[in-house]
Amino acid sequence: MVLTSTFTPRNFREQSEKACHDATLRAVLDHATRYFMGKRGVALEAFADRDTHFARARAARLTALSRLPDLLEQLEQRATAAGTKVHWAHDAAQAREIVAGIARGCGAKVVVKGKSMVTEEIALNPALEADGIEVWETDLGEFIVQLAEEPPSHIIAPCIHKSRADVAALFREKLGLAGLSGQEDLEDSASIPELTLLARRALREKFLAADLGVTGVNIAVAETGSVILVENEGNIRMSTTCPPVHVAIMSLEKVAASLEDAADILRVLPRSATGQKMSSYVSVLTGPRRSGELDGARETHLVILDNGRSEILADAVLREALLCFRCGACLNSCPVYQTIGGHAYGSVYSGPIGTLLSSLLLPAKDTRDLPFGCTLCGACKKTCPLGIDHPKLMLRLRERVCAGSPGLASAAHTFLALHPLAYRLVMGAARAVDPHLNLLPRLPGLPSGLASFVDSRQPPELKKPFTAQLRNARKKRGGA
Amino acid sequence: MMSVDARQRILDTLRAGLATAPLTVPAPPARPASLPVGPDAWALLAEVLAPLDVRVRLAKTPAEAANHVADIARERGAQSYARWEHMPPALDMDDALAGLSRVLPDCCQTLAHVDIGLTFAQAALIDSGSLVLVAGRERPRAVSLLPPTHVCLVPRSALAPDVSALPELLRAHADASPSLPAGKLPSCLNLVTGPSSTADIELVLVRGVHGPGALDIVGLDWDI
Amino acid sequence: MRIKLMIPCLVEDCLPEIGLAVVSVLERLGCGVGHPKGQTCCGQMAFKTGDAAGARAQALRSLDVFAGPEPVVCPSGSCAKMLRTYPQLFEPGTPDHARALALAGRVVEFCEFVLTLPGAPDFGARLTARAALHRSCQLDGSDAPQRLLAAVHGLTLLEPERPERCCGFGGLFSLQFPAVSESLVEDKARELLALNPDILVSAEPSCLMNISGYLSRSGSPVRTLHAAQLLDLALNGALTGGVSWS
Ligand code: SF4
Repeated sequence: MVLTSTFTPRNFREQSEKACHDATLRAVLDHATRYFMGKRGVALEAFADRDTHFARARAARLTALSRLPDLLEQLEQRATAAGTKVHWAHDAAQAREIVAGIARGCGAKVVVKGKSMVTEEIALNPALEADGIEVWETDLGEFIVQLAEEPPSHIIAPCIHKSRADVAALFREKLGLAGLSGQEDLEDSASIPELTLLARRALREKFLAADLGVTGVNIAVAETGSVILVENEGNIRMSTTCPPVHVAIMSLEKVAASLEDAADILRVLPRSATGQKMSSYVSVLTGPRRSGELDGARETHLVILDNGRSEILADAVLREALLCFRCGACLNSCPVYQTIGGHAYGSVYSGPIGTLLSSLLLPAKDTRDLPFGCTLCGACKKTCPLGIDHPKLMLRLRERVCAGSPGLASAAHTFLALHPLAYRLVMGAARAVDPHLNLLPRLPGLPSGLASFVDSRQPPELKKPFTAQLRNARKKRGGA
Repeated sequence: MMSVDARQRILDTLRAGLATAPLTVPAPPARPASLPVGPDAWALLAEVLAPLDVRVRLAKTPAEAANHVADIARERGAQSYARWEHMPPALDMDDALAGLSRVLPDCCQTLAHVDIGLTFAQAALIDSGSLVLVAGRERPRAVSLLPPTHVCLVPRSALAPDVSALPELLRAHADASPSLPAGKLPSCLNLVTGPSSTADIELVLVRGVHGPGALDIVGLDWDI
Repeated sequence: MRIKLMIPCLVEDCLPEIGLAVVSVLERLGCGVGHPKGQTCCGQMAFKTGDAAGARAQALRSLDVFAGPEPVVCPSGSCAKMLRTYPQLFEPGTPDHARALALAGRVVEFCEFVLTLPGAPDFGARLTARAALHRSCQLDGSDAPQRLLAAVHGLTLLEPERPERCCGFGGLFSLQFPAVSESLVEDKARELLALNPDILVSAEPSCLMNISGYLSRSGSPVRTLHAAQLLDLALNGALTGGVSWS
């Protein structure tokens, strides 16, 4: 499966409609989302005091938001005291400039990166590459999509859309690899463990040659100035252990007030993300290596990124989206995501939480369709360990979209008036909602959508209304 | 300075936001009490780790521990090892691994070619099967990361119930610092739970993608 | 017991037989059924498309229509839920907010309500058939339909693989994202038909319209009934108002 076009949130509707027709993609998504939901379900079933732990994790995240400015100042002060250089970035461009500056400062030629959505969000790689730096994604899935020059398709499993044959072909083409036994036909022979080992070898060299390691942050602890990184592969440990310089980039909401709050989050995050009691590796990093230590970065940086988030704190409903710790569970539970996958959303963040974050962080004109690509079934809300009420936020966003675009009312009115079937179908469910028909027309794509709907589903007939039938029946009975 | 402006701007916006829509956090339910560490702790640890293909071997004496480590080296076909200097004196691991060449863990480059990395856990969390490794002067981080096999010695005194023990563990290893009330935490603490793993290709689980593919634990079941 | 009936607009115009079955069942079980005049829509459509002002206007109207002490019974989980959402539309402390709270407290979904009647859940209803139940995400996880239908003698109640998965309707969603919606209803239909049922049953009219519309387009002979219709048939041996899709 090769992705050729570029995806944008602006084309969300077209992209999702198209994704539905890709049978291979649907099969892969079905398999992957069931796999994750299954593992998670088993883990949560066995999780003693689950709801209490969920509530504590939520409280830890809420506490962070409730004291966000103070905690960020404390984080800055304590991380600095521990020897980390702290930087603030108002937007993506500033963040890129800060990291590029650090890279220039240490004369970096090779950069290794741990999986991080926030570096995707700020489009860091092209900025570093423009400076002539080799940038390597080191998470296996990210490495594969990097070689393929594609965006990641899932928070937890960035390359679920690639088969082993796809990966083998990539390794042969892009890395010149011929397999462990030196065979030419890597595509036919390669097993998944073999491909993994090939990637391990290729990336080992990069880790050892790297001048700079860049990672995201799962939790930053204000109390101690530490950053906590959670992973399974060991690539993040490698990125913070081998290169002399480490830059951690955090979106500003990822702070926790105390080590206790961080521990409450760690109890829940791995279980919700992958069904593990703990991820293979959790690193708590505080400042650079101390004198006498033989490894670990000698120089550590922390970049605190805003990129639109601080504005959200003033909205009591929408700021719930900032609680998210990116476990990915709501994606896997979402019937729409299960059907269209991550790429269709056209931005770094996909699925229910991605719809919310993209709508909040990207320009409004590009994200109008996003909050409508949702049936409001509530599977996400039910799944989220932090109790985020995605449907409620989705409705709030719809309200924002509609408030921003008056007009067109009469066009729809005309359309519906001229198409009794449309009127029955659409308005049969809502005929008295909106006597002036202000609403429907603002929603794009209705005429063609209606055609497809009727194509696949027999619409009910318009019948003699219930009220009249009941009146008649009662009259008859009364008369009898 | 662009980023100084950024700092002020961000903090101002956040403060204005909280002033517009104050946020109070309802008190959460109390953290459930941790299970006590009882006589079955080793068995529980082994049970949690079994699905991760981690074997826990118990030793009653230093000599037994040495035998276990030697067995592991043989089973893994190891020729070389590196270890933390930080080990209780009673444990003569160099003697146990006398047939192998010992490599000093002075940098990642050398460790990349070593077969076994040997460490000594500061704690082990029974609930999740996590080893707690605190990095330091005689405890380089890469010993548990670069070699394909990681062997970890876990003293009985290190057994702890769950991740709620983490804050205390970190504070216990902190250095006093005038500007840091909780002290200056160690530069790195790792929770290690099973081998390095990935399922990125077709969701097929593979052990040992970047870190060790094998993790062996030797429990030191006496008072150290 | 006297109740007020809230009839969803979809039922009013397109699926009146569901409403008739509801009346038949409730009267048979001893309820006095009032059907207040002037009912239109609960405001759900406006609410879900981001028109809070429109939803508020609809809500005000419902507050008047359903004023009074009786329970308001509704054969649709999503409309019942909308009525329970009204307090969210008004400023706390205002009289309308207070009225909305009072109404929200009186609204009951049909199956939930029937389960509170004397003799529940076994009313001696009898129907020999295999019925596949679509739970509907709009019922917010309520198991009232299962509990109610499980008590029908002779009925084999079957649940599909992913019982709570959305059928893909989502109101306007089905028109704005028709291919996604169709993919979802296709999944749902496949999982339901795999149970080899005689009847497809649900307590949510909009889901029924969506799924049965798809089934009948694809030529499936499976009959689709609302829980109230199934109960009516099982209690009275006949369907008041006939079937919607055959
Ligand atoms: S919003 Fe989604 S990704 Fe975020 S914490 Fe909740 S379930 Fe996880």
